[in-house]
Amino acid sequence: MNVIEIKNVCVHYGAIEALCGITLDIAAGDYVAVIGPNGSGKTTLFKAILNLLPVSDGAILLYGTNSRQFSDWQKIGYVPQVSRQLHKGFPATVREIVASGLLSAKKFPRMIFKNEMEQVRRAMGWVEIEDLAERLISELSGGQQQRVYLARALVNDPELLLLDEPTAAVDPATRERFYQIVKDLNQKNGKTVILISHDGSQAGQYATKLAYLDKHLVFYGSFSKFCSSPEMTRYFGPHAQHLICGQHGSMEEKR
Amino acid sequence: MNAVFEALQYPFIQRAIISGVFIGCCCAFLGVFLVLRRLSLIGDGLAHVSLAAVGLGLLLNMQPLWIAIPLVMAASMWILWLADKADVYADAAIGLVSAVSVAVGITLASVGKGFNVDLFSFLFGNILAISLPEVILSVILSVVVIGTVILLYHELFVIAFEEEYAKVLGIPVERINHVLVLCTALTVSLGMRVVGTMLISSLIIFPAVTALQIARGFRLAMLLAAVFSIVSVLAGIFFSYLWNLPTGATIVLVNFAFFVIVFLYKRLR
Repeated sequence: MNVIEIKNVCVHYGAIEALCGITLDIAAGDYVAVIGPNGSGKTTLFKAILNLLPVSDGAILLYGTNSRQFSDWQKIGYVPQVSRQLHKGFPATVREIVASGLLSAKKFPRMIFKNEMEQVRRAMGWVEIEDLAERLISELSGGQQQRVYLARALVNDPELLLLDEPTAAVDPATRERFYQIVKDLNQKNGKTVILISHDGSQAGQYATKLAYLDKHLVFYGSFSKFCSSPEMTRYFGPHAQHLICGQHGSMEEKR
Repeated sequence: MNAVFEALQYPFIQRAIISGVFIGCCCAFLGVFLVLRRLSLIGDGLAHVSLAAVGLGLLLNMQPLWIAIPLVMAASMWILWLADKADVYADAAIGLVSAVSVAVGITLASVGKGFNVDLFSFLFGNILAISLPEVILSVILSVVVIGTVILLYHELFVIAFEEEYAKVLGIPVERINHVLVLCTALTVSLGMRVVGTMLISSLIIFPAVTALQIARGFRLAMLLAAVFSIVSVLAGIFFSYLWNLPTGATIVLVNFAFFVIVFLYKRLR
């Protein structure tokens, strides 16, 4: 079953074309890494999927419903690209931030009840931040903050996770731990994952499919196809392609 | 202490306390959201609009509050429209509306030469002269504002933290922003009797900024802001009564003292 169907989508910022001609389907259980250079439209694609930006052409179907009419937002967990500075001095605790994710399943008046705190506790448990529950978000390291945002995205037990460069500006060990958690969510909990990353080789370690964007969809398919594609060798150069494929190959062996 | 009990016997002090506590509470609650969203100066801008409204009210020989409430609410929508639809930066939109309002206020004050003394009381507040109908109106409208904030607490919280994420959650961000700004307009209109149009923004900013220094949790920040605000209003009223000081200014100075104490406590702890 397809979770997302993107049909010939174009997105413009005024007269500037950010994305065009994007067509791809993402099936339940997929783990898709979206890679591409700066300004290639990766975040724009997420924003179009989440209805934050209007598509100028084409359509996006979420669980078979046009994204404009889609209302089951609790099925989708989103971890945005967040700057640490943005929340400097914000007085919210980790528990309050994670609980705010519950609102996607609610209509006005949106209230959070005490019995829903079990969902909050479970989401914090998934990403191993239960001991941070009463800490202020502004006091945490970048890696800890990213786990808080992942817990917030998971609090409604969504079927699909959209992660926008979740490990930007965190140290390699933290990044590795984060990817491990996401991999478990995909493989053990069956969550569909779409992950934007600048780092193709890192993303390639865990993802089962790769989408390469450069305002257009340059490549979309499995890693084995990507690695054996002479067209991709021409596009990336043998060195960069080998870097991505080498890492992915070693993880495939581990699986 | 006797002086305090003596003061409490006077109806004008009782009226000042009731309206001051309710309006102070509104200012504190709204202030937390406005400060965190870097919108705290909207209170200042709207206060300037209320000045024009007071001028118009006095010129037309009408109760200024009745003119101020709709006019300031309309101006708040104008600021939002300029910022959202006309691509004017939010701070510039506040400055623009504020400047036009002051110009209108001064022009009206100049046309109606006889009301300058009344205008002065609105500039710097005169909570001790608040009438019973004004108290009743203040309490009713404050309950509306506080109730709205409580009802929309979670939405306002998420928007303050991350506006775009709020949209992903399906929260009607634009509508909630309108409600927040309208509540602020209402509070500013009411607050001009407490501390005056020149100082009302301080009643919005100080308790929130003071609470944000030490609060460990968002609910706690709201609660602390309300406590600082209410205590400042009460202390300001009593100090001004005891030492014959201007009440509005005394309330603001007590707020400032709280801020300094909390600031030093946090740094020296």
